[in-house]
Amino acid sequence: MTIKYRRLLRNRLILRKIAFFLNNINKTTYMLNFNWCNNVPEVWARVFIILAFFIPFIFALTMKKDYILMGASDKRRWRDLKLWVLLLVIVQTLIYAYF
Amino acid sequence: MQLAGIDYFIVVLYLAGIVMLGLYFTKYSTSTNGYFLAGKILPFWAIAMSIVASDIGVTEFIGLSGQSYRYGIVAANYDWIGSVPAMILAGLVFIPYYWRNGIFTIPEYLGRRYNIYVRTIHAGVWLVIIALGLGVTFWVAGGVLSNLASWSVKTSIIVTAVIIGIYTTAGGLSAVVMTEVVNLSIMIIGSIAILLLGFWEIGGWHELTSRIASLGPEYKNHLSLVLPADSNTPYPWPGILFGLTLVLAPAYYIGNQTIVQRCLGARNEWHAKAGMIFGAFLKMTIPILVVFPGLIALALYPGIEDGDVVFSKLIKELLPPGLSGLVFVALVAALMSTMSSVLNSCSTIFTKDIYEKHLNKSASDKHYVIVGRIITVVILILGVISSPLTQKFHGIYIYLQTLNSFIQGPILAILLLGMFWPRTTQWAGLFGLLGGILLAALMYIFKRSLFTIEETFLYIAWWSFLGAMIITWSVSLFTKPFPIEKIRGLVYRQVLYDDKVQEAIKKQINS
Repeated sequence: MTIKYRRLLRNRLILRKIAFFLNNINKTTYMLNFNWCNNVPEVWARVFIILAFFIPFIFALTMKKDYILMGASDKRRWRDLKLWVLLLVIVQTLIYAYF
Repeated sequence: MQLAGIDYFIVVLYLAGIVMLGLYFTKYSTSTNGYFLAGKILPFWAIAMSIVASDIGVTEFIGLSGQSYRYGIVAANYDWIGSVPAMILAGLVFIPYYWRNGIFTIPEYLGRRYNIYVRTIHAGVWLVIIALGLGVTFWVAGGVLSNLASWSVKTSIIVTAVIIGIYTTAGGLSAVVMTEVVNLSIMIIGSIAILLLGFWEIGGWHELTSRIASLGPEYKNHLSLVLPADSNTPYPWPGILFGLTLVLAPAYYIGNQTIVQRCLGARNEWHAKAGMIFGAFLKMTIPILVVFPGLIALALYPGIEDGDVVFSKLIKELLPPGLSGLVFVALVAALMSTMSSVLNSCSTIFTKDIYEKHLNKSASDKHYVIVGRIITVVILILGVISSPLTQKFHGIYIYLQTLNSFIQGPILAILLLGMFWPRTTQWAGLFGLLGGILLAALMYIFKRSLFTIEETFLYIAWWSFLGAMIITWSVSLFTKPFPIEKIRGLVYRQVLYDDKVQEAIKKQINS
């Protein structure tokens, strides 16, 4: 194998590595830059965002009343923080459904 | 804007009133518990108002109305989806555990859950970012106030620094919180004045929307909260959902000392939780007060290039004397609330996590209060002295914000895993924190290759959070976890009110 051919082969390998790297960067950008979300319809984006309000609400529902009312001076209905959370979620859902 | 005689009267009355109110609460600040946690007397409504007042600074007033002028109602996402779910999570899960453990600071929780290294790194990074940022905020806010009132920037900075210094140093958290209650009320009244006069001038909501729609097709998304993923603004929906809602917002409400400290001063656990949840109700109103004025300005005065001048334009064009003074006071109130909160939380972290833990472990309670007061004055002076540097180093504010976004994701990752997964180990917390920060820094360095969006901080926050989660989880699997006794009361769903647990917590505090 001549020196010239070896050099050519080595350069080709380097070029292939560079191409592989650039190709991967493109894939990484596609992933990191959320380009895969470009095709998601806007209505679904809105649904995902509204879901973000419901997740903490559902989480709150799993909590025991004793835990929610711990430290409260009485057990009147308005002190139930689950109701506060429910009201927050309703208002925010209406806002995100309208705008 | 030129303030008239009556405006100056309102300003002087406000400044004198706020100093007297702050000084009144000095009587509660004789112990560390009193000075740093307001003697645990705060009711939920004061906590809620204080959280919101700390959050809304003068730069937010000016900046958010400018953003809504340029990009539309999407700027409101920071106070709606970017606050409400995170505040619910913080209020119902994290705050009760912080409160029950009797901690003073977030680094203290991290120190108990992980180790001294995590505590010190978090405290150190937080102090550097906040203390350096104070000077920048002073300079920016001083500039805004000088534009509005024809004062010099120096005068604006010195007047506000002296007043904040007097009541924050003397009264501690209780003075800060109670003055914030007044400040938020003034901010709301001032903003409502602009909002009502703006709508009066335009002719109502319907007229506002039709005027914006008539500006052209580039304004078609101005009244939409959800922008497409390929939108050429800083607010595409994946950034809002993944970066803001799932990372930056929870990191802010769960891991930010300035916010959490108010809840730690609650009179009982219910007030601590309710303070955060009621704060979410108040946060919902903020966009109406600061984002809608930007839309009003767009409908009234389209074509302004610099969005940051629209708020002062509205004040100048819409408000009569007297009301101008009130809105000016609202901006001063916004500035003072943010500054006093930052000062108080910096002094708490330095005293509890650096001084008491590393420099002088066995001093008296009174000694630590004196140190807290001295640190407040020192940080304030440093902030004032360093503020003109902002003019010389234009990039410093951007760098500080970027550095801040580096730590949010990793901090949230170790807080979430530490709270919800008992298997998380001390070394996993340390590696997760450092690895996440490194990952964020690398993504920032290679951002041109990795991202196509202009403002990358929302995406970097999400991916660094994910990276830190994976690192913490992986390292946990290969390292030895703490015995259950050591982490009792620090992890979610562990019974706290039995004798064994209280004994374990006392041991943790004493060690």
